[in-house]
Amino acid sequence: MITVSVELYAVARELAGTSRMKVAIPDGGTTSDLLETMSRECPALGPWAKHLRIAVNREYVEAPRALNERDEIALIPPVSGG
Amino acid sequence: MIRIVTTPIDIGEVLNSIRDAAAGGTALFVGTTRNHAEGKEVVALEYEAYIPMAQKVLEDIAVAAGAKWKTTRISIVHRIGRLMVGEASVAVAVSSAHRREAFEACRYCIDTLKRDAPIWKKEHFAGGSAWSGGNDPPADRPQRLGMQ
Repeated sequence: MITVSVELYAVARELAGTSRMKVAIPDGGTTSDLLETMSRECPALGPWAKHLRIAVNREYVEAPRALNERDEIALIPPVSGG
Repeated sequence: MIRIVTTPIDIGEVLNSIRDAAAGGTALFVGTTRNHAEGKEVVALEYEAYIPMAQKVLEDIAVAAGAKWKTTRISIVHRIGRLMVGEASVAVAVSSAHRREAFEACRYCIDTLKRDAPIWKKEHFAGGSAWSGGNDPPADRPQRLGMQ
């Protein structure tokens, strides 16, 4: 297992009650595994899961991507800047 | 100049930042906080950003705009924190030799920022507050009749 650190923003942060979560996923676990695990550990995020984008090292990741412990990961709810 | 700021945007400073002797025109877009949203009166707004990534996304947008149109300079400033109605949340300024490129690049920058920048707006109403787009996931929202 590896432990990744995830930053949460906006509605994701409010639902999880924290702006940062440490999440354990299997070695070679992907962004999809991460979302699944986070939805299990924090059921309030569940309904939002398919609307959350994931950013890894400050870039949006659209297809499942393997993660490692040093990645900077963020959950990105639908944006509303501007 | 590409910046995320926490204090009121100085439009004069934004315009100064894109001055260039080669420029024949400047297009400026200023986004301001309006007093209504979803049929309700807005009393204040809060903007939040994943700052390092927002900075990067705004820089990438300016570079992309400069590659698509022949522009001289581009500045984008987005404010975060609590804003009162009427205050500027974002300014995009583009200078170019000719006005067509300035208008088009300016529009591209604000449209792309709104689509891609990891920045979120929370609207405060008299009776509560909600993230722009709602506190519920998109599919779960009650159907709305009529125009948005």
